[in-house]
Amino acid sequence: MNPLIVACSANTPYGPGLRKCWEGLMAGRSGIRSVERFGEGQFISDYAALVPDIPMKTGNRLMELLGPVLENLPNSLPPEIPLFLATTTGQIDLLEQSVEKGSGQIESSSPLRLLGELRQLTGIRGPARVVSCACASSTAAVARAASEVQAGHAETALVVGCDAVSEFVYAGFSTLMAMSPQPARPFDRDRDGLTVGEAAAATFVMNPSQAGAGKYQPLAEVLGWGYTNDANHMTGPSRDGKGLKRAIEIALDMAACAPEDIAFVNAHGTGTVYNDAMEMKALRQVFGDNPKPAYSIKGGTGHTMGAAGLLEILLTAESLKEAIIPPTVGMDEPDEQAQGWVKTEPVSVPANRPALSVNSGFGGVNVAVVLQKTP
Amino acid sequence: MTKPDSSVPAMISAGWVRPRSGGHWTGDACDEAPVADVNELFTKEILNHTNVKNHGRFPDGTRAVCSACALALKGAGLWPGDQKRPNTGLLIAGYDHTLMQNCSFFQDYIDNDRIIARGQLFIYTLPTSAVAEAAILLKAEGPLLFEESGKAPFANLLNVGEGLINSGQAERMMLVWQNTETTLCGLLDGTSAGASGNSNQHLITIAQKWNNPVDGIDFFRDQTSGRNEKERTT
Repeated sequence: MNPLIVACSANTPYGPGLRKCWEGLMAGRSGIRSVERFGEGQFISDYAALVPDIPMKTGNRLMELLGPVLENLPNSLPPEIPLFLATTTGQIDLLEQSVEKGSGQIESSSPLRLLGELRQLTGIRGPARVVSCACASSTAAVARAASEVQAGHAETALVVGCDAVSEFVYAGFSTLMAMSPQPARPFDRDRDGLTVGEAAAATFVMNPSQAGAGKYQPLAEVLGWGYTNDANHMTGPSRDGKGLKRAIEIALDMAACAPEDIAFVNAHGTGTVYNDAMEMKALRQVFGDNPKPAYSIKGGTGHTMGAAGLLEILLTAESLKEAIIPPTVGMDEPDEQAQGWVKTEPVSVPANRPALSVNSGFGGVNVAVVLQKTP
Repeated sequence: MTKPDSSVPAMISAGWVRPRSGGHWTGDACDEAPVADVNELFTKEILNHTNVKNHGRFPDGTRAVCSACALALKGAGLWPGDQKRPNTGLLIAGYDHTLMQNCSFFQDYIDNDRIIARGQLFIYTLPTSAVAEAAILLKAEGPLLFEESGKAPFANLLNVGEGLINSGQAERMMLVWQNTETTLCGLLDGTSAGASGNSNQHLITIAQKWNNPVDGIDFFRDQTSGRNEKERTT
């Protein structure tokens, strides 16, 4: 019995709720905006995808992002379930404040502190873990939760993915020349970088026997997952795409799926020259030269880092439910390698076949997950 | 990749780095040698055997992780060597060095009047940065993940590592636990050559009681002399 993704809650640059994000992407709207700069920094970009109605310097932005997500979770689950928190930098604005004031309270920014706060806020008393692997963190957290459920170590697990746009992250991506001076254009022939974004999302990964009573709405079945590492470069992906190809193959193998079974791909698609080229190479190696419908959400949501994978898994489930995928927002003219794969318009897809969601990140990490609509 | 048989993963070796020494354990042998600092150990165990790009920028915590992993592989007879390790992954617990790196990066940015940040500091601000660098130089292409519960970190790593091997995601997992002073790496092996047929449950149970990586080092050292035999079998 495969684990299920059950119920979800999200807060994205389109506002609270996954549906707003879905509708914005389907309409081709972007949540990326020109933002007020942090301090006096001279950054490459003025753009970010921020969750609306949160002041830029709020003191603890991540908790502001998480508030509506936690409020909308079902509260009738047993408290002893495990909790998986995925994040790259956690409450990094607390570290910023500590450094600026010289207070030495840097531990307050540790993700373990955030984990403790989440346990208090959710009332969960089961085993709690921080899972992190750069921009594939929440994809890995879903895979870890699914492993625990499949192995019978838990009936249900809560997965939370979150990261906020901070001066720390903005300055870091800027100095690596990873940011586009314009809103990100994933898979576009003229793409020139990513746009940072922020989001928080949560879902339950559940044994089907727990969801079977109709109390909870199953969103998708998790058929398989695969993790690999390029072992090639600290910030750039392997040019040959073989690491991501291997992660996809491991996930397909676990899912007992052939490449031709896959209906569509929710790609990582950051908008950087190297990531998108690597990803197309990997997809072409797995699927051959017969293009699969594919899309990236990051021209709409920005690159939401530790939240990206979970958000994309939830949107993949939405695509399976609706039998349609959104356009790749921000893309005008696809790169030669991406032609036939990504579109500027929504594309109908078969709902009764599995789908693939993939993420990669700094350090060369790759995680792939295969999902299927629940019967 | 499908797991070839139903053998149970076993801890076949461990490597560690302390402020003034580095050592490794292999079940029936233990070796620990004094060093002046982690740089000397990194040179001895890594740079003397392979070319490493940009190692001058590595933070000490990253040098310690790389050295501990190399020592664990060395104990198992798998290092030095130039071969790719497509089915070997790395798990890490411990956030102290990440916090220090975060602080260094942002302090440097503030000190430069917020005009410019340094990429070579930023790339070490992720919890997985140190194991990512170790993966590159040891050519370990399996799963790479930070996972920490706050309680019994090494026991959790053992559980996660076993799960990854048993589900066919990897054949070997390097389990790294690090605090400000000490780094411990255990090599969990699920290949037919390494698997013991015995469960790691006894080790997981003992690791539940460890408060820091030194407890783990003491355990592995004592394994050689049999001092933990009673505890190991209960």
